[in-house]
Amino acid sequence: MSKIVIVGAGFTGIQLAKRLINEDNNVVLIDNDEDIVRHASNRLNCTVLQKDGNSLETLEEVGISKADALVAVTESDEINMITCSLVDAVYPELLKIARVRNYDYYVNTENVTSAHKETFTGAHRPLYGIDHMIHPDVEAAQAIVTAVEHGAVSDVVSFEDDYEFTRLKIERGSKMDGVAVKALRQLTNCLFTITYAENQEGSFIPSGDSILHAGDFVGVLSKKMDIPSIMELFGTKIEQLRKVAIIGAGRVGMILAEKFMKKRKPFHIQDILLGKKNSSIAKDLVIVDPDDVLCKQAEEMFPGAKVFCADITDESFIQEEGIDKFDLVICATGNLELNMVASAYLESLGVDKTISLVSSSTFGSIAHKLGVDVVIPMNDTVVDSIMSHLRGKTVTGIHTISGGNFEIVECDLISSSKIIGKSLKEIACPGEFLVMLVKKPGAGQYEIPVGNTTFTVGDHLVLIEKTGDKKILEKFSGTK
Amino acid sequence: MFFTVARIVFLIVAIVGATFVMPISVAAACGEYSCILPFAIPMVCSLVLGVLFFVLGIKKKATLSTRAGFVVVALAWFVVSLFGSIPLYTSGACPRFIDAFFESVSGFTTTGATVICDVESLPRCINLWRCQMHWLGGMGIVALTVALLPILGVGGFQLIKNETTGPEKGKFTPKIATTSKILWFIYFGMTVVETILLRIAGMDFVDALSHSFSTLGTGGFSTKNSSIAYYDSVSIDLICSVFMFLAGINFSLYYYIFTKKFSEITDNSELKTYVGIVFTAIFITTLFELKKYGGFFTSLRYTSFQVLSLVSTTGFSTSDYTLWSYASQLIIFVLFFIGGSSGSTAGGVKTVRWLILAKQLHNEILRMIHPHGVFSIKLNKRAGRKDVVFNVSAFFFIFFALVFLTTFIGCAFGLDLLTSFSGSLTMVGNFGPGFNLLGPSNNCGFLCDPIKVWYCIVMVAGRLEFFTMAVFFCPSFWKK
Repeated sequence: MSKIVIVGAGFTGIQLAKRLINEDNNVVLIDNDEDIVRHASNRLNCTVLQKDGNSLETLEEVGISKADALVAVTESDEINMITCSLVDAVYPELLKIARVRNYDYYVNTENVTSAHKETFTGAHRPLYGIDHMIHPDVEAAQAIVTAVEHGAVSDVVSFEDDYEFTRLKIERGSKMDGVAVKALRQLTNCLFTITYAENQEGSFIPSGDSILHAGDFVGVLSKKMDIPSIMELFGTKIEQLRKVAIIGAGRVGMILAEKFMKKRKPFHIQDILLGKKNSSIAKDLVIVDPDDVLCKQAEEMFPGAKVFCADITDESFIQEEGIDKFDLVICATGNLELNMVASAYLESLGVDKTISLVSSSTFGSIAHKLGVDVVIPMNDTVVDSIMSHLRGKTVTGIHTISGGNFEIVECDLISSSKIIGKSLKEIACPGEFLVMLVKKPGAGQYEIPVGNTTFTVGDHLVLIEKTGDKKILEKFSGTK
Repeated sequence: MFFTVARIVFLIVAIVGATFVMPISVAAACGEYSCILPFAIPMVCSLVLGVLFFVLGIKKKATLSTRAGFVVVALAWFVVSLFGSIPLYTSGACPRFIDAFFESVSGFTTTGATVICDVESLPRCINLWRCQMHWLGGMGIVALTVALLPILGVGGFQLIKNETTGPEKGKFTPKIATTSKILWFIYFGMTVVETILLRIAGMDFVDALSHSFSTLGTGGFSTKNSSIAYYDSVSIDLICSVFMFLAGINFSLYYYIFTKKFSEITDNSELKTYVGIVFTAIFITTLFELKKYGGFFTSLRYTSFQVLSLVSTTGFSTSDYTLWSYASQLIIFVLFFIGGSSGSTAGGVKTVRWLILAKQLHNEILRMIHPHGVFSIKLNKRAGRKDVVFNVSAFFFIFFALVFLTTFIGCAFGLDLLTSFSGSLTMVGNFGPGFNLLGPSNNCGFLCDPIKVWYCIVMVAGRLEFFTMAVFFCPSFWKK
């Protein structure tokens, strides 16, 4: 159990507090708006204070000296940054996270930090005393890039090492159709775990006897490099995403374009001689935005991309440029509802894969139903990212998946845990939870556990459970 | 205001007057004592006036309005030309004053069209002065003044902008005086190198110096009646070719060699185009003149010299291109329209302007295929100023309008069409030789006085790239 002070009770602040409270952390939420504070204190099981969060006096009053982390997520970038700097001056050992929406602040900080690597290592504090700056657009763009790297088939969660978690559909004609989960291992040499399944009736954590059918969606955990062969097993064809369109030349769109253009390998003669295929993504990159000025900027920044100044819902434009025949369309405009609708519309016109930036996971499940392949929930991405930074230092990481039905939780085993010394077979409880990965203390890498893996103190576990099922976590982490 | 303008103009004249020291020392060394006074008297006068104005204005703050800047530059060029014609007239080199003035304008504007039939009979100091005018006018007399006298302060850049060539004018150091100094230093260095090389290749010192002045300034005056052909030496041809080529390149690129910013050079679109044009033209003419010269290398020697002489707007000749095949003549004729690079000492339209138009053409075609596309013009791998196309198209209009007007005036005073048209091009673009009666083996002496006067105006207008002169014809310039 750790103590975390959150300054700013906006959507992100509240969402973050909820997650942390769910994990039994001691949370203090500070905001200066009376209504927001009243609202939050009615709904959240934590201290909510109506004060100015950027005063050290207030922070000391709520016990910042004993806290493990400070998260500043107010509407104002400057307050977030100053609050962190202020606290850093007095309590340097505290973990500080600030959300910064101004891209220049973010980029400048990144650049300074990387340009003066020697200065910002060791005893020196990071710039402004902020350990992690969270930029919502950068986080969203990163999530999109990860999805695209996996062929934009479905939502992807990456873990520290080379494990990744994907949501795949069992296609018609797949070898997996009608096979029980326990028999799956015989189909391939790749090590993977089926973590949950979704069919018409709903979603569940499968046991060894569960039978999978074509049309079901399955959450799969595997090594990064095994993903292509697993997709093949599922009957999913991985197509080269050559023709890619980014809708929206705003911040997210620009970061995306930059990442795609950077990924392009320079042309090498020897590649042709050796018959190597250039497998880079986004050979033909198209950027579409209705704003004239943004388009001009984009065109100047990315000479390799085609930029169109048009409305994506304009049918004649889509025909003109053949957008409907694209391999991938990423809807990343600032209008998050439009993204959803535009993705669904383009999908219906025949675009192979679509990725849509939406506001939250609630909208995400609607988008999934509309046929959007990959959904990036903006707010959850930010909260996820903050959580992942809090992990390691204090709490475990949590990812919400399958429209919020399941959570992937990471935790460390301490001596009071009830499962110490037991093997996976003994504690197994099919359908309730599933231990996906284990990292033994001292070991560098995660491993997929097998039946007789025994748990010891200091193990780092990754498990999947139904959202809100706190008993399992208590049992594992040994805390109450 | 009037005082400030007069002060700057007289200072410029004084600087030019100070350089009379060179012809005077040559006259003294060669025993041409009768020529010392025609140089010495104007030199002393200009220096006295210059010092007087300098001292008088020392306490006044020299603020120069944008409009006065145009007046200063345009006035300076005419006054300096007038000043430069004094020794030519008083020494008896040109018995008629209008001829002396024409010769002087042709010198300072680096045109290189001469009215003197027998240059070999002239005193050596006069010949040196003729070439020295090229050298001074090539890099610019205002630039020289700014480099040497720290009087102009902030207004300096405004003045130099009115004098330097090319659509995009910049300074690569924060202070314009430093930029000018560096450019003049590079220019000076190259002149020294060429003089030494020509001396080694067999010219005597004064001729070597004169021809280096003429080459680096891309002028075209020679101390010999048959120009470089007089020497009939492969090494001299080669040295001149190389330096004509170098003088046609933007001089700021040489600065980047010293500062080791090689990407500025390799990314320079104009340089690439210039090199491409030069080599294509040399290749084609070499092939067409194989028969005439009876061998690849002989043909290459003469055609490359001639191509470089015209593309850099120098106007030296080793062979009479009007005797070449029509195909080669056409190539030469096309070169009259191209000219060197912006920021070089060459005249003409400048390669970069054609490049911008070609890129605009490409964009227009793209716009027809992609009606919603956004396209910009990229030079040196960067997006250029947005309205650069407008500037360039205005330039083309004024260039061709002036060419046709000048052709008309020529024809009205009895010239044949080809002579008048090529003469007009050669004056507007500061080339030197033309076709037919103005071909490389003829000179301008036969032209009637009104044509000479008009040509003088046109040469200065061409050297200042029209806009600086055109403002005087705009009514709003004269309104308060």
